[in-house]
Amino acid sequence: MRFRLRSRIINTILLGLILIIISKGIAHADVIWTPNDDFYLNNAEQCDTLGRSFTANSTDGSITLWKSPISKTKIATYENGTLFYVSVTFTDEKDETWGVIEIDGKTGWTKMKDLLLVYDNISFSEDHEKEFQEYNGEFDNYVIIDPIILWTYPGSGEIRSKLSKVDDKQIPFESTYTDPDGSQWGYIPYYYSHKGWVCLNDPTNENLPVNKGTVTTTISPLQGDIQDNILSPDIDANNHMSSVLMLLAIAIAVLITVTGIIIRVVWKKNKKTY
Amino acid sequence: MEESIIISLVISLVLTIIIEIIFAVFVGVREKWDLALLCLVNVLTNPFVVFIYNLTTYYHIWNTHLTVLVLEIATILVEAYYYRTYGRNFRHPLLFSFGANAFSYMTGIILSLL
Repeated sequence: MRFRLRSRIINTILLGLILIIISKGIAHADVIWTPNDDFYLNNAEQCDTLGRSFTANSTDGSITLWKSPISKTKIATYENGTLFYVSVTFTDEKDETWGVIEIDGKTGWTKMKDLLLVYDNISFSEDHEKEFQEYNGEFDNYVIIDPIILWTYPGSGEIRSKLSKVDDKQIPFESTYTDPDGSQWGYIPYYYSHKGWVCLNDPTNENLPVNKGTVTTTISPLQGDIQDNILSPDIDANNHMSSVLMLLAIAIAVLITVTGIIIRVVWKKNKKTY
Repeated sequence: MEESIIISLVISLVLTIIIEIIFAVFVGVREKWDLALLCLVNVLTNPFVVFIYNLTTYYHIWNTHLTVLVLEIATILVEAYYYRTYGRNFRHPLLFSFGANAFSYMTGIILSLL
């Protein structure tokens, strides 16, 4: 009986090893389900993180999502003007850059040249970087009573979040900017999962005038070295992602602790009585 | 993306448990307490492994293959410890843990190819 069990285990392991040796490609340890995109997971090291929003802007009037940059399988088509979030890009052998998009439950790849970048904080920073000043405590004496408004960028009209003070420390503004109307803005890179621009003159006003920037020069459609347009980790999606990942990490830690305790208590007890 | 990670965690755990139970039954580990222990041990290890794997893949923190290798070895050792300490009918806990994980790894590869 013991011999049969041992030989079964050995035979199964040998079979497994043979299959592992002759298999190629990525590792899926313990049946790791990777729903993002197969092409991306197989070529992750050749891909670059982007994390910006675009609208469809093809000369054909619509863009096509393909299963992968090397596939001829169509996933879907979208009319010009459709808004997408491109998380990752891949440059193929022909120097064509592709972006992966997840929309309506579908995941696919499209050519970046058919997309128009949506003006965002990164674009704003590129356009106005030379006008940024160091923060010199302009907001330190402000007492937060009503929540202050954090905007995507000055004049965007897009509220990112509302901030109430959470501790006694000063809000860590990184830089300031004075807009054409003379209003002063302060940038918060990170504060308890909040980030964005605050109008220092009128921090609680939700109806500030809109003066949206437009994408100009080489970014319509996206051209040039995409790496130049990528800022540091300071992107909207990454910030939200950090909060979610932190919560997930805590949940997993709790799960592991509780499971470990259950095993120790129940199985140890059970083993003693066995 | 965050939804993808959560779905990935759940599906990975469920599939891993199912596959390792199949392996366990095949090699003769059939007692209910041992199968229940197998389930809980995978709850202990699998979500952590999948989470770290997704992080390293998405953020390019470390080499993906090396990460998986390290995680798999750690998983095998941890699971073997629990089988040896709390199991009733795991005659060769380390061998069993290695076999179960190799089997689920192999199945994962096959599933990804389909």
